[in-house]
Amino acid sequence: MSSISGIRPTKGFLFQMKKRLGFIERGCEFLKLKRDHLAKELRESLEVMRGQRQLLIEQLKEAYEALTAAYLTLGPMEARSQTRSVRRRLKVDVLPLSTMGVLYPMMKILEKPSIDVELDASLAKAAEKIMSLLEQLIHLAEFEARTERIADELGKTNRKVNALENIVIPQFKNIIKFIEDKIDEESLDELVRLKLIGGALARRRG
Amino acid sequence: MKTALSPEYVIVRCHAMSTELLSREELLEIAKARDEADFRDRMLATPYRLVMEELPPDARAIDYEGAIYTLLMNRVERVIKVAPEDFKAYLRVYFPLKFEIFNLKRILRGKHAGRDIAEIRDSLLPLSPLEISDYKSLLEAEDVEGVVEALRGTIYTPLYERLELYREHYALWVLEAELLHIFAEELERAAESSPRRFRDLLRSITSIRVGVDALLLAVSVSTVGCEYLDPDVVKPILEHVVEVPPEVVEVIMERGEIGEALGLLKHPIDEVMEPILEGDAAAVRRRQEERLMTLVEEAVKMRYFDFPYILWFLMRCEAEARDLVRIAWGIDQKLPYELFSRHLLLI
Repeated sequence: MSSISGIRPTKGFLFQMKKRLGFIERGCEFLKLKRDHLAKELRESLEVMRGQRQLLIEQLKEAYEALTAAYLTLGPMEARSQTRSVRRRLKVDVLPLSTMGVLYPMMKILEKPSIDVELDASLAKAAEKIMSLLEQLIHLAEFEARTERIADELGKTNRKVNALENIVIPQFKNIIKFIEDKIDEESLDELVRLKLIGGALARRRG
Repeated sequence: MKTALSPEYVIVRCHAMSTELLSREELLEIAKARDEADFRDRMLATPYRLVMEELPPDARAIDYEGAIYTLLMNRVERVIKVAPEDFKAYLRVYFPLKFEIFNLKRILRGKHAGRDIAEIRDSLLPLSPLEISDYKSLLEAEDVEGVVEALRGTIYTPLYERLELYREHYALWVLEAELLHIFAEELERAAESSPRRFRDLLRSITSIRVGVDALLLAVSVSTVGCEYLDPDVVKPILEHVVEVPPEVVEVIMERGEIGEALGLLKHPIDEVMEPILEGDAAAVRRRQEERLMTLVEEAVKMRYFDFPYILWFLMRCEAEARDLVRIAWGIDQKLPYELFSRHLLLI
């Protein structure tokens, strides 16, 4: 057994190993707690995201239809000229947030687009629809990024727990058992040796 | 250079040129092109071949638009060049001046948003300067104020008076509204100088064109939430449009009551504007174009060999160009035929 080779079967080492195993088992418990919490967060996030997405897709479809109608009414050159004349555009700040050590982006809207030019009424309708969706779109993007990171972290935590439960902890237990067996064997040898010596001494005295 | 000839000559010429127009069936066939390559092939079999051949093989809808408008401008110029003086004024305002105003708006928007010269130049319609001396000086102007300054001394001088409002509120729509006002004034002046027998027709055209544009402007600036809203900027545009009482603008811009505003409008503008109740501005534009065509078609029925035919011919050329641009964009965006065909005027 490769994990056993090179270990010292001493009581000091056994004590050290047991201490380490206790620490690993405690860590594993914490990781399991984290895993359960992340799984709960992920489940909830997925449910919310599914609902929000469906709603947003419907609204985006309407906005896209309005935009298509505007482009077809005005022609691409005029529509492009009008859309590019919007001076104050959307400005967002991306801040990091954390849940159970998982970092995800949170977007803060600093400035919403402001239209101070003459957009054709067809394009204005599309712009109005899209502007009303901007905040929702940003929140959904934020939520998707959060869900993705949580899912990622959940995968990592799961792998860590599995590795600890199935490989590291059994290995440590094997090592401890090996050392304990070795120490038991040695103490038995010692006892036999003492008994033999004791017998020899008694025979010499007698 | 050809000088103005007799009205009969121009009318006969327009009748001859009308053979260059695409029939409904031909347009339908182009609209059903499978992809851009197919669209190009179908266009090469039409009079648009001349302008389409010059385009690169990977041309997009925006390039096709430039080419299609080149042919439209060519047709407009050919007719106006030989039109009799009393018809010329209205045609000149209704077509080239309208397009020049489109270009001025695009320059102003580009300067307002700080776009570079090449980008603004690419967005312009292929048009020779009409009331301005050249586009170069406007494109090279540093900002909106520079453009307005360069336009002083032309028919666009009233823009200068609106500059203060623009500076104060950064509301470009004020200048765009003034351009519509200038267009309305020029149309009115041109109608006045046209033969008396056509003045009613020309005033009706002006009303539908300017009245609907002004109302849509009022709706649009209110919809997108412009910070600066002033009905007094829009009201002067409607000075000669009897179908739109000035208080309509206040109802739209101050109270946002579109339904109430529609109730104040007179026929036919109330009918044209009706879809705006559902927020369908594209349908309003379509009805506006249809109404204008119908108006001129009815006049043509009464006077087949007269000025209305020239007007009809040029309007038909413009409608065809617009439809082809819509088809090109629809195909470029891979939209199903059923979706973009709803926006076509001639099919």
